[in-house]
Amino acid sequence: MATKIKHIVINKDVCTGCRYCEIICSLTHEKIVNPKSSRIRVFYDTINGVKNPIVCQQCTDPACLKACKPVAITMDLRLGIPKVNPRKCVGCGSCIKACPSKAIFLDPQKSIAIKCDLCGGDPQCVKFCMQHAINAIVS
Amino acid sequence: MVYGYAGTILRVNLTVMSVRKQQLSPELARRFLGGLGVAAKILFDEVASNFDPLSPQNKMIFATGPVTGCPVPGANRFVIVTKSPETGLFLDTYAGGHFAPELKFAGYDAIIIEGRAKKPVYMKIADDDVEINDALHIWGKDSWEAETILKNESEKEAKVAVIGPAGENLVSYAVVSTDYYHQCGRGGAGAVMGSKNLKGIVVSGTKGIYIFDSEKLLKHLKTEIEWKYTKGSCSQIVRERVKYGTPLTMDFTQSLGILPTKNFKYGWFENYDKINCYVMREKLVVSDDACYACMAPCCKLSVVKDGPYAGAKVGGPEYETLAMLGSNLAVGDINAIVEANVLCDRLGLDTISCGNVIGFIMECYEKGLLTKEDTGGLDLRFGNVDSVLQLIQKIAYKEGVGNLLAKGVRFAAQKIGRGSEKFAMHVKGLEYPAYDPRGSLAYALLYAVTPRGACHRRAWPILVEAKKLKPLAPDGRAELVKKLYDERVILHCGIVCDFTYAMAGIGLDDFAVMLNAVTGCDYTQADLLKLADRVVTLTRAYNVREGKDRKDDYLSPRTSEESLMAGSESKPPVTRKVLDKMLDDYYNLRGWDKRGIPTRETLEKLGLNDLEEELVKLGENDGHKD
Repeated sequence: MATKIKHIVINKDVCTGCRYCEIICSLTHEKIVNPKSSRIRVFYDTINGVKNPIVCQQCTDPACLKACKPVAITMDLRLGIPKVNPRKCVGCGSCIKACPSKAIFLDPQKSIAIKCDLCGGDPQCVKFCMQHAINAIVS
Repeated sequence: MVYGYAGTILRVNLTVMSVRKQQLSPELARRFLGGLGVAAKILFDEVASNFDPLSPQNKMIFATGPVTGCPVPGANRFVIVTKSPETGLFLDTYAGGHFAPELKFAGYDAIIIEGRAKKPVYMKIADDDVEINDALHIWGKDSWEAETILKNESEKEAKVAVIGPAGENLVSYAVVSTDYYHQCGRGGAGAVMGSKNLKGIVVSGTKGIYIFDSEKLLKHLKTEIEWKYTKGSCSQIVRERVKYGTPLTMDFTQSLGILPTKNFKYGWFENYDKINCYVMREKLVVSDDACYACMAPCCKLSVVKDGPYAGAKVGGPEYETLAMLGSNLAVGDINAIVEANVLCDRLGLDTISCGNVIGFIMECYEKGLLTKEDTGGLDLRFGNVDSVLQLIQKIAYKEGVGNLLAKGVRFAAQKIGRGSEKFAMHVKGLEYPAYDPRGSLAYALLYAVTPRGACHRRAWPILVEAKKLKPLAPDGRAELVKKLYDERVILHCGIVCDFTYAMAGIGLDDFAVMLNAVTGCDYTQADLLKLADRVVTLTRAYNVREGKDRKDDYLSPRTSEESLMAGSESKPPVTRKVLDKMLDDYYNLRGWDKRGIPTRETLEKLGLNDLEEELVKLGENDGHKD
């Protein structure tokens, strides 16, 4: 493939808060439906109708990587994005504190950091967003 | 491994403050699927008959279904099944939002609530931890305040179901509210919750749901279902529904002449163009909001921009609210309807019953059956917005004339008497919603036979009926109502939102594919239709056990004796003769006898043999006459 996906962007004005992205993400990564294990999250202020969808912006100089003492976060050379090694992650939360977008999460079941890995280059949330609020930015 | 289901039911007894977890019996799930079906069977088996719905004997079952939380369109709803304080009969009432999936993620298919707490409490469920906590600090707060407080003191993404002051004060049509703008609206589940001193339930969950064949499910979703929403024959309707929400329905009802106006006296509203979906979209709507796992965001967030109600904000108003608090009260000011909607939601009142009851009392007032002295100084002429807003508060707090109306229209008419029963619009005690059955015989039959009383959500027959059936002859109605009702029952057992399925033309075949992919079962459409028949007969049996039969399946005298004026048109009444023919046909299709009691053969055929002993005895011995 000539083009490579850099990161995902979400148009929060188009997002309806249906959370299909969370469902699909958890199913893809964990083989289970569990929004709290999703790498993309929609924080939904229902009384005001405000949706705050969040996903990793795949920084080129990632704060999460620098903050990770056990060196569980490294650059994935093929995709050019920071990636969590679940075997090395101790769930300390330093990366979560460091992330400027608050886009890295703690999996409540496994107690390790989880973040968007672009599904290895074919992000499923983009496919299943019926509102087309989620788009992949390519280089 | 259990697929789809969580596998566990939570049983909470508030009298002794005990919490127990029990397995969801696979046998129960197989026979009744989930949601409505499973909860109905639990209620039937666990309570006796002839007790006060607001006594500790009543139980409330909050239930999800096998597909709740899964990537199945509309898999966001829960049902509350209980004995209704409005009708004294079987009640199933649903709400969307995000509460039901969260309950599943916490690891529960259902919660059974029993008894009565000694003082106000709320329940807090966080995965395996279940607490019953003091609720004194939120007792008396309105639904929105209470939800916000409970959210602030809980885990960040906790979901909440609460009652407002109307539920605390045991108003018969009090709602249970969730995610602010979603309500288990009809039949008074909020009052049952209030009678248990239970202000709310907070739930948060971190567990997942296993899906048997997610590849197959996602493929069906990505191909068939997405096609139906975006390109299929219903896709234009979907786009309009998404743009305008349920208020689009007013176009149909006004043009068919069945839009309730001035307490169902008329079927056509002169100020329709001031309160319709186009005005709403243009003037009010700021956001299109979806429930969990919904591809067609029909919840419209409306904000009043100017005038005396500036700043009023609500998810809605839905069609039913626009009609019952609008045309039915001759209120042609959409901003005022939003304000009334906000009041009902915050106080925890059903907008449908509330609009119906106020329409009734306005007619009483205009007819001189009540004076200003009786109303505490309120001028209750139709169209008086200020009086409507004051009356809503009086109902919630049972003050003055509000107290007279707080038990519903049937009770108010009994109290007022003097012929007012003739225009008290209800079946079995549940107020009519916003489709006048004159002009739709299928709706007339549906209102008559729905277990919870006059209900519009058990089928939506008007389009098929208008296209395919003769307007004034009863033929074909029983078949149409049974078919559409059965399909809804399956969705209500699933549980998925029936609205999105009807809108997009998602059929039983699609649902069966998705249900089987989730659960690993192999339900055929025929299996599911038989299951629906079983559930409908079970809910009928509940009401029969309460002493109800054919004699209770009749409509308000206004419907059966008066013509409906709709503009220059006049629609004839739905006479008892016409209804009798439809009832005969319907009972026959269901395998119920002339009195509407399920026969022994039917119970056996449907695998409801365990009901036989109670029911057959009743059918033979209780001495009811036709």
